[in-house]
Amino acid sequence: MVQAREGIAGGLVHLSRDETGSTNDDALAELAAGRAAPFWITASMQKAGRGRHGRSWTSPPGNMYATLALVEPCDQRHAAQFGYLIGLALHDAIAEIAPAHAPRVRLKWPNDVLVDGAKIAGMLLEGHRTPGGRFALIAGIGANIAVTPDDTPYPAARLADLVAGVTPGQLFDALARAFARRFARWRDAADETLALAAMREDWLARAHGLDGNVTIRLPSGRREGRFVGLDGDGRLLLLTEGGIQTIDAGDLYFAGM
Amino acid sequence: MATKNPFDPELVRELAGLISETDLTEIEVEKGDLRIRVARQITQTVHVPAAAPAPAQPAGARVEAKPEPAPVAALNPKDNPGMVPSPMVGTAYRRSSPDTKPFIEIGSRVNVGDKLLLVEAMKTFNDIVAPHAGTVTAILFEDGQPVEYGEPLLIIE
Repeated sequence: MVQAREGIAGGLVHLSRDETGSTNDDALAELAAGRAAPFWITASMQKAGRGRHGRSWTSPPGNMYATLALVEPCDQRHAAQFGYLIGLALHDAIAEIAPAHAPRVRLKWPNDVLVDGAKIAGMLLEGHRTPGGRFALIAGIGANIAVTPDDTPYPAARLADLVAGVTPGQLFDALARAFARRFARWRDAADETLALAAMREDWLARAHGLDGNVTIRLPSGRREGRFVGLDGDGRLLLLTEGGIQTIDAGDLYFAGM
Repeated sequence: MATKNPFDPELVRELAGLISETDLTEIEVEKGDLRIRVARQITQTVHVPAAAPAPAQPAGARVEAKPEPAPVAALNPKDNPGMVPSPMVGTAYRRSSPDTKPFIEIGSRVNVGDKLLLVEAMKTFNDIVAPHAGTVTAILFEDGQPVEYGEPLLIIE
């Protein structure tokens, strides 16, 4: 592994590399080598960026690739809350850089960021065990800054179309600071259930397609209904003809898109 | 797949016989393109969420036979000291991606910390690792099935 430059971002250690395989894999290697969490890792490009279910995440130079490593930030049961927390931090960061366009930036369940319905950022969260048996949460975040990937099955957007000349470093810096603010507020809650309840209103206020008809594609087939909210575990609430169903995994599609 | 019928009732019958003569809960054999898995439920008290979807199975490639549950050996997995519960709500996966091999099978020997399965919740993928060493004697979920917090996932004895 190429030696990383060390700095500070949002009050946390920040390791940056020019190029790497995957920042999530780097974070795991750092933890295995004994580095204390939390810390951030960024790279200018990834050669093996990963998405959901082993899908690849195209990672050319010019876009942002960041991973946040946390060790036992919460019980593993509540790990998925960090998808919402980091999603809100990403929204804050983009809104800070492009304030005039903030209303166009929406969060897509569970943890993508859209501009006018096109994906500008996504994340892959992984819960692992450290060699010492502690719970480690690795949150990989990819955002399109200068380059719009052309190999995605969905429409994609880039930050440079909102703010000319913006750099990956600018978004990362705003993200690290926004995460620090959101994380401090999250930790102030009396327990994880209340932490999610406090965050849920913020998240739903920025959610794409709330109260609209959606299709969820699951390994077992499709479900259709109305996206009416999130439950106490962060699952999507889908109002169907047969009543409310909770959805914890699957790809979400909006009616008319 | 439509041009040939790989289904071999004789083989299934043979495997079903074998499974009822032994303490096994599942047998999987591969013969060329054909893969047959025969499984039986060791108990009828296994909790399956109402919304559990039927597992998608390629026609003819995978056959499941569930003979009558063994009346004597029935044991609620919740009471089994080797039971591994789900640490969260989510969807359980036996493999890291659809075209890779399962992390474990019935009969796999595992050490503490070995990866057993993934539980996905809101695109957070959680490794579930072995809390104790032993042999996997039961897998209590289907690939891609929703699981609840505390739901028995498998038994390691």
